[in-house]
Amino acid sequence: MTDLGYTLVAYALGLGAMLGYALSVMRKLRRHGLTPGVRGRGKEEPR
Amino acid sequence: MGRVSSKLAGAYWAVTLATLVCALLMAWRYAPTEASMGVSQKIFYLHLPVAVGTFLAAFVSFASAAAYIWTRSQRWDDLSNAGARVAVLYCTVVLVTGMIWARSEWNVWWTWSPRLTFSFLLWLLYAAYLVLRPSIRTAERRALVAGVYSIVAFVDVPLVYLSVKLLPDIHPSSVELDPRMARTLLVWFVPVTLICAGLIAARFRLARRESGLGELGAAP
Repeated sequence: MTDLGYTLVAYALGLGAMLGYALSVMRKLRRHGLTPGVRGRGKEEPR
Repeated sequence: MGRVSSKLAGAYWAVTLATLVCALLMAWRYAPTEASMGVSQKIFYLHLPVAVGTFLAAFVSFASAAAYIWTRSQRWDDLSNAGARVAVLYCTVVLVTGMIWARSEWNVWWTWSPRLTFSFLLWLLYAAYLVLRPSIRTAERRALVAGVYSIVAFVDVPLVYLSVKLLPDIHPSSVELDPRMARTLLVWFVPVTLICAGLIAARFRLARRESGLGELGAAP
């Protein structure tokens, strides 16, 4: 593999792990209703 | 209140991603290619700030563990747990990017130099912390054992930092940088630190919710 190949793999793995973990935590938070878009979903607004 | 904090969180991650894109552009478009190492030197822009982020996350875990032992408030244990989790993630990224750089530059994936050995030990210590926690059933005992463990594990952080200064090591310690490279490196610290802080905060919120549900489940 070339130096450029190693560098691209390092960036992809490093940033992929960090951002992938961030997305996974956000998804879990959303499941617990702690992020926008979930609170009150499926319920009608009070008239 | 909830909607405002959600908007703030959204803005925080948007700013983080914007600075990350800016840092990537600087690394690949603005910073010159290093003469002797070539393009693989660009791994350093990610590797060094993530290493500092590892120390930061480990410090959060250590300081929160000390605060838990002092106050016995579950909140501090949750923060210590969040710091340890992010420390493991960041230390993994440091080891993987370092190994790839070593393969490219030294033609080996790994060498047992003092800094690499202490870094691997740091990863093992915090990974063991994550394995240890769920094995203790009582919440108070779990928090106390994990707190003491986190304080002991943090002893390895100064060893990682000082090993390259006190012991003979092939790991690069201080490098003369072109001003454009130095600016790029400084910019990289921003998104990497923001991601670190954002992940600790998000994991803390999740741990607070999970420990709250655990207490509900434990109630008679």
